[in-house]
Amino acid sequence: MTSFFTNKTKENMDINDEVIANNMMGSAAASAQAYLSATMTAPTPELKAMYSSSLNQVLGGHTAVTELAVKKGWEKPYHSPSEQLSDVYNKSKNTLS
Amino acid sequence: MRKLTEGEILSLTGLLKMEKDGLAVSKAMQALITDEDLKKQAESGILAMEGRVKGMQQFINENQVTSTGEVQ
Repeated sequence: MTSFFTNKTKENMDINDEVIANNMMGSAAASAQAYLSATMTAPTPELKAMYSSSLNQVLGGHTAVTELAVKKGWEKPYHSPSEQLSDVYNKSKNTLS
Repeated sequence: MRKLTEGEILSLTGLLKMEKDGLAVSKAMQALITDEDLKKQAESGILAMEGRVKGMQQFINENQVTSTGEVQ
């Protein structure tokens, strides 16, 4: 049943591993920011400790996905900014049909 | 432990909501991954997320943050 839905989803959407990896990095960055601000504002030490260990965990996960994305060539952070922009610009054309 | 402030209760609510929704989305996305390395990374991310949700649930139960805690 799962594979049926997987195929259906892939039929209707242009989703691939690169898109998923970018999405994972985006959500990890958002949760890290949420945990950081919660850690900074929590006065209770026990809650602060839990948030800060979660922040470290999220940071670790983000680092691992970023490393993988660089290794696979999905992300090219050392290319020139204009090169990176034209790359994304070209890819953005495919999402509009 | 001291009683949590209202802001802390709201931050805990927001973070728990974020993690539980993120977990559901991640589990759905996992089925779409074809790359083996990314699949492994997603799996460990899901396990970590489950751990954080369980941690927050445990924190809420142990410190009686909500009135509707588990039966002791």
